[in-house]
Amino acid sequence: MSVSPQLEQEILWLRDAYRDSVEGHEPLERAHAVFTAGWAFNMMVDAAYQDALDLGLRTDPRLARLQVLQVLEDAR
Amino acid sequence: MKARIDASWWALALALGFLAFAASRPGPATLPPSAQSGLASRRQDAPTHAPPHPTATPAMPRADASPSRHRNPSRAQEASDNAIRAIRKSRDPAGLRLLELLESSLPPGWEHTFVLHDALVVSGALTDLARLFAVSGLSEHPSRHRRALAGEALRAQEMADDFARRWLARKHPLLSASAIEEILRLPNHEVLPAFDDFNLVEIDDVLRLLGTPAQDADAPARP
Repeated sequence: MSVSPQLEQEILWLRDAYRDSVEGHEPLERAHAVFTAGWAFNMMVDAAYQDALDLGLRTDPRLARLQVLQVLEDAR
Repeated sequence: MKARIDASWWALALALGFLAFAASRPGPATLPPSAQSGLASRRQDAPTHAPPHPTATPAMPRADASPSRHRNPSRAQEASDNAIRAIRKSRDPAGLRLLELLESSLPPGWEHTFVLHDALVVSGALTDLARLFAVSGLSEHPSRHRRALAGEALRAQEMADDFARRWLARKHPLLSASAIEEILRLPNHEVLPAFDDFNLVEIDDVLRLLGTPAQDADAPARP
């Protein structure tokens, strides 16, 4: 699995922006947490979509998802 | 089995719709095959990747876009142009307002970036989130959903707003604070789950990886 430096940076930007936004808050109801986190994740998938488009690569939702998951896992 | 997010909120669909409709998938490029491991192995049909980029730095050890792949501003330009055409053809009020906002608040050249794409996605996603956070049946008018929010739902929406605000400001520093606030608040109901293939979130992974403060699934809901 590989990720371009630009995409890696943008995913981490998104993650940091998200974490800064939820930090210190009390736990959300699960349904709300799911929607909030899911939307943040999908913004990351969208970044992967843009990255593929930018590089002239085929845009693929499964690849995008895997790229995001890998960056997040590796950055833990 | 891991839960998946309901497709109805999938706000990415709007921008993808614009782009997929018009961007014509540049070039014949496909990702070259390579060994899959780790997360990739979760899906047998997972696509594959390119070899490491020769200019990868130690700080970005896995930066490995193929040397033959180069970023080309014309691709973002093409995506913007096609989205603009789609907006003007559809005369969607939210799309037209976003277009007007960007044209009036950004210097020439914004079409070479994905700022329109991002504005469409953010406004559509936040509109849809407000719809989901609000109790269903209150109103079918998207501009009223935010006003219906209270308590926990409002808090969740404000977290999402704050996330979008921080990210837009960082990615598109030329966007003014007022322009960003308008993007966040603009009701954009033209978000359809047209691209369900992109609805691949495994929510337990996402909650864990993003560190979302969530109550246990079995815990009683807070007032």
